[in-house]
Amino acid sequence: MDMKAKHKHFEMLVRSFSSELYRFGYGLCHNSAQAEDLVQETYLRAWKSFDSLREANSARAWLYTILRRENARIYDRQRPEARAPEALPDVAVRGNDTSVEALVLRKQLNELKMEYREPLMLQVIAGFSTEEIGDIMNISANAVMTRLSRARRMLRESLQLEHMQHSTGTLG
Amino acid sequence: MNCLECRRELLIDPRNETAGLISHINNCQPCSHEREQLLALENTLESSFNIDVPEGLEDRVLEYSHDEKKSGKVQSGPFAGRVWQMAASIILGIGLLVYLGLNQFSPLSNAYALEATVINHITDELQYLHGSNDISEKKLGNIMTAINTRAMSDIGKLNYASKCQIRKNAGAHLITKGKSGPVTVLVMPGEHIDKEIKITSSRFDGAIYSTAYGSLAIVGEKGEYIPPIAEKMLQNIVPASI
Repeated sequence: MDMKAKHKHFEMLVRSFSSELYRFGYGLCHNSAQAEDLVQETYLRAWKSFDSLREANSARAWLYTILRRENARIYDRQRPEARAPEALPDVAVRGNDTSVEALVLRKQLNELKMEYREPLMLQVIAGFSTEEIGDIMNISANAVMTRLSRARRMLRESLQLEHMQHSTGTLG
Repeated sequence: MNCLECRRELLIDPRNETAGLISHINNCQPCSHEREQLLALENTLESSFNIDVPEGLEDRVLEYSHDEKKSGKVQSGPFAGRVWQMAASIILGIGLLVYLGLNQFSPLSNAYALEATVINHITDELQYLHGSNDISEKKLGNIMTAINTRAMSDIGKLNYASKCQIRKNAGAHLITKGKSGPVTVLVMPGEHIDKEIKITSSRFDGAIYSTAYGSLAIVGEKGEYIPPIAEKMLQNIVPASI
C-alpha cells in the first residue's frame, strides 16, 4: 500500500469508528477527556502498526483490542471501580432516556465489575459476536457467554431489587 | 430446545434469532415473556451506552495523529520533536526526489506527484489552518519578494503566511478564509503544469492552476467553492517583474 492509500485508509478508519470507540472508552474510564485521549492514543498506535494490518475486515476488532490495552497501560491504576458511582460525572444521554429504570440501570452498570461490563459493552455498543469478544479480551467464547449471561442476570436482579425498594418506600 | 436452554441463550444475547430459539419461543408463553423482558432491558442498556460523542472528535484525532506522526513519538519534548520532524522531512524529501527522478518524463506522474505534494504539505501543517493571525501587507510583501512574486493589490485577509519549500523550489504558504472554512493557497514558482489539476481527498477539494511563474494551488475544506477565490488569487499574485 503506498503512502497516499495508507493515509486514506487510516482516515476512513478514524471517520468510521471514532464514535463507537469513544463510547467504549468512556464505558471503561468514565471520564470524557480520558475517553478522548484513549481514542487518540488508539489511533496513534494503530498508525504505527498499520503495516501489520493484513485484512481490512479485522480493523474494527483490532482497534478495540488496542483501546483496551491503552486503557490498561494508561489508566489501569485509576480503575473506575475504585470510585463511588455517585461521584461519576454525568453525561448527556442521546435519546433522553431519563426514566427511573434507565437511571437505575446506569448506576447498576457502573457498579458492575469490569469483567462483566466489558463484554456487555463490546456486544451492545459494537455488536461483536461472542467469538470476536473472546478474541478481543483474550478469553474463550464460553467464558464470554458465561460473563454476558451473568452480567444480564445481575443487572436484572439489581433492577428488580431497586424496584421493590422503591415500591416499599412509596407505600411506606 | 427446552426452556432452560432457551433462557440461557436469551441471557447471552436477547436479540438471538436462531431458528431453534424462535421456534421454542413461539410455542412457549413463559419464555416469550422472558424474551420481552430481556429485550426491554436491552433497549435501556443501549440507550445507556449511547452517550453523546464530543463534536469534532474525528478531526481532532486526525490532527493529533498527523502531529504525532510528524514528531514520530507519542510523547516528545520540543527538541526531540524537531529532530524527528527533520529526519522525517529528509526521508520524505529523498523519497520524493527518487520518485520524481523515476517519473520525470511522465506529465501524468508529475501531475499526480504535485497533487500529492500539495495534499501532504497541507496535512503536514494542519495546525496552521485555524490560525487567527492577521498578516500585515509588509510581511506578505517580504514573503512574496523572497520567491520572486508579488501580491498586486488586496488579496483579502490572510490568517497565515509563510515561505516554504515545495519540492525543489521555494514557495509561499498562505491561508485565507472561505465560506466553508480555511482555504490554503500555495504559491509554487517553478512548478509548471500543462493544465489545471483537480485536487480531491476525503477532506479537501481544490485545484492547481498554471501561472506565468509556475503554479498556484487553492485548496479548501470539502464542499468549498474555489473558483471566486482562485480568480482573485490568480489575478493578484504575479511574477515580481510585472
